[in-house]
Amino acid sequence: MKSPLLDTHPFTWKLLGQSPLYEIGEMNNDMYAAAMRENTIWHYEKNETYRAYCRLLKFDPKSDLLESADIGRIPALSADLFKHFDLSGPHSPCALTVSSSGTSGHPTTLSMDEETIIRMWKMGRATFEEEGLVSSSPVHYLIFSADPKNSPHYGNSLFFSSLMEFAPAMDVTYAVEPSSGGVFRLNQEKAVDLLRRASGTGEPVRVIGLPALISSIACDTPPGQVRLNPESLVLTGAGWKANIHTGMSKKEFRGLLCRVWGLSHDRVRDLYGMTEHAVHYLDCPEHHFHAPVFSRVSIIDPLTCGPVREGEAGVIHLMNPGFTSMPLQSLKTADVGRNVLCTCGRKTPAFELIGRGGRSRFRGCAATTLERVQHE
Amino acid sequence: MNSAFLFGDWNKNFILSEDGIRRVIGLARDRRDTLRKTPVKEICRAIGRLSPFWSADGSYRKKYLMTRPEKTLGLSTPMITLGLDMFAASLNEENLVRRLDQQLGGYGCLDAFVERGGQSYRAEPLGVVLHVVAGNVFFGPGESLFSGLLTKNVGIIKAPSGGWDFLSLLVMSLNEIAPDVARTIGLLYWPGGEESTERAMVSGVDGLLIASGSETIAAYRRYALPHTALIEFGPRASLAVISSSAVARLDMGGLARDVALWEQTACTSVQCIYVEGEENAAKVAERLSVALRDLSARLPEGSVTLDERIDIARLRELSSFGAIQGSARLVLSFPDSTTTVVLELDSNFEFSPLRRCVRVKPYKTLDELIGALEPLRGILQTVGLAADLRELPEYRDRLCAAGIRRICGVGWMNQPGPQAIRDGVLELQRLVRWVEVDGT
Repeated sequence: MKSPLLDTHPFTWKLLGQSPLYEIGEMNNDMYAAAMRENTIWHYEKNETYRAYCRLLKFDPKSDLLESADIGRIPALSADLFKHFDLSGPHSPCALTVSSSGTSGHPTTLSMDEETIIRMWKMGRATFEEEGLVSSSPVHYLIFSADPKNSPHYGNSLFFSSLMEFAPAMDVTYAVEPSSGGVFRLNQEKAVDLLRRASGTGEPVRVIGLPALISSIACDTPPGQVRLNPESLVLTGAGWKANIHTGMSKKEFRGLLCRVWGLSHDRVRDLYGMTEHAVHYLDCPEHHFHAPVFSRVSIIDPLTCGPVREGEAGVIHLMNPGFTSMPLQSLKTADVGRNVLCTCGRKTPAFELIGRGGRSRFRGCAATTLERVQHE
Repeated sequence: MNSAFLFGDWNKNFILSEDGIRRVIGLARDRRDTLRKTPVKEICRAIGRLSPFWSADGSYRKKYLMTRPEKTLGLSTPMITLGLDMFAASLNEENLVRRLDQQLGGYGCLDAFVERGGQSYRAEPLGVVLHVVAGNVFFGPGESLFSGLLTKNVGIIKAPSGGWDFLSLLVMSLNEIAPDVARTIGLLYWPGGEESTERAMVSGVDGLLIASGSETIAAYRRYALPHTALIEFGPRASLAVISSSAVARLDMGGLARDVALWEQTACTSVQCIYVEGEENAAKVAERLSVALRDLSARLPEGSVTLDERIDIARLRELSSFGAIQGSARLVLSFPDSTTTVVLELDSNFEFSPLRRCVRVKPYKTLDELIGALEPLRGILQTVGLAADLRELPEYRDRLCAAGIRRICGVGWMNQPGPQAIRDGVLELQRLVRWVEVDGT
């Protein structure tokens, strides 16, 4: 894919081609800093609202981002801001509009230009390749969200479907279907049927979606009825906070799938990300998240934006130069996380997600999806 | 297994099982008659004698402060000591008698039939009252318990989360000076939301006094039997209103206290300040931020949770962008503090993330102000009003009609007087049943 902005964003494109993915050295760190500077100046110059906000904070990327260490000075914008204000710049022709949440009163509607989509694709591909999860063998896909054709702007549907990129599809089953009155329902029968079929033929399945929906199917699977091909893969994205209602932790979830579907632990993987951020973080074999070379993740205090003490809970701050359509390069989430020590061998710092923060029930796509699903 | 004070005895290993609850209810019912026969003046005297124990240098106050309540309450020590001062003052015997007189038309009706207008009346206690009171104002559950005692109701009180130390020391102090009265109290703790415990408790009592969030109230309402007396205090919203004529001589320190006391968690805490005219609103916002800064030297901010910090950061950022896009004008905050004053240009009432964060909003006419309050009609509580003497009658009249329960001067929103009506309700009246002797 050819980047429309290759000439004006050379550092970003060099950064996206870096490997290994989880090893930060002086060279790729400088490249990351240059890409962040490039991206921030782009938004500053093209986006009037963003420029006004930077000026309010007395921040000018051209004079304030001179060294790698200065990258932390880029103002962190709350994900919530994008729910209330249209921060897309007129400079980027919109190729895709994505909604991250729709029922809590303030849906986030993001516009993505072609450049952003290409970058997201490239970073996603690099992540899955690094983890050895790109395969040329065809698989059955069982997707626990609606077909994007039925909800074309809905972030989760688009995201889950995008994960079919990494292995060819024999067929695709969407287990969540539109029902009357704009409500979606989980078609349990359809999902179980596919799993039984794949179990019988021994063909691999890739199960993708929210853990609450996947676990509800797994819990109802009688022991010994489904044994999936060991190359099968379960990919979950978000929804862990909502899963608290079912009382199932990530570890219990993995244990359940290993027990009832015969998967090994490393074939049950979780992704952390959000529509407002261009990177999705795939958990390591120890089930922690690590930032790849093209992004930085820190745990910060929401008020001061300074780092919290090692191991202390704070909000997750995500930095990445992927978005050109909106100033999302330094995103302060409402997710609470903490840094953890990880012995998986990856050399970038590890973090874990604790849950959603704030009292005003800032909720993401996962909760919305669950609300939209009516069980049969 | 938890500690519990069961009508005169401490039980360190109390199990709140079905049997345990039955025992508590049984003991409470056994005490009804004794308390009913105790002269009300004696109860007032017992409560009044507690005051020195909780005033400055009082032994129980010292014990309480030694439990380091700052962390559990999220309040600074000076704020807690101010609360203890106010609580100790509320125990004054004369004030208690006056409160009974005001709300029941004379305390004597609790001891015997009294003649009024040719009829005989007696105020009979409900019997056993369960108190479920949130600890947002930490001494609130104690005040509630004493309202019950004043009306001769045996009390079972559920300690709110973080409220055990205060209530257990309060009960200890009462047990020390008036053991007979303390024998009519049960103090327990269980985590909120335990349906079986809550259902069993509420179905065994004669009355329920609950001050909490909507969901908790709705749950208890479901558990109560049809004949259980319910005295409910739900969530409320309070505001300040400042007319243009009052801006120049506004008690800014008082307004800062209205914002800051109990870190804005009380129902009476101001969340939005309405000021007549945009320029006046800007002046008030600027002066208020300075006053809040000054106040924090005397009443420092308490510890703030991560969730609260997230919400405050969100307010600041949304308002800053609002200022760029024209929906807000000023965002005044301090980097080392949670104090935030925002001047927004629309008149919609909005809830604050608390911890000294307040929105200032201009209004052009009284009609516009009243219109902005319409969506809050059922939950409006206190208004701190500053207006010219000639304007006051109309403001009061229109605010009353809008649903306000209490109007006071700026600076007094969180410090109701000893005779104040609680949340629009004569609370003591609700804690008794009137018995009338007619034609016998």
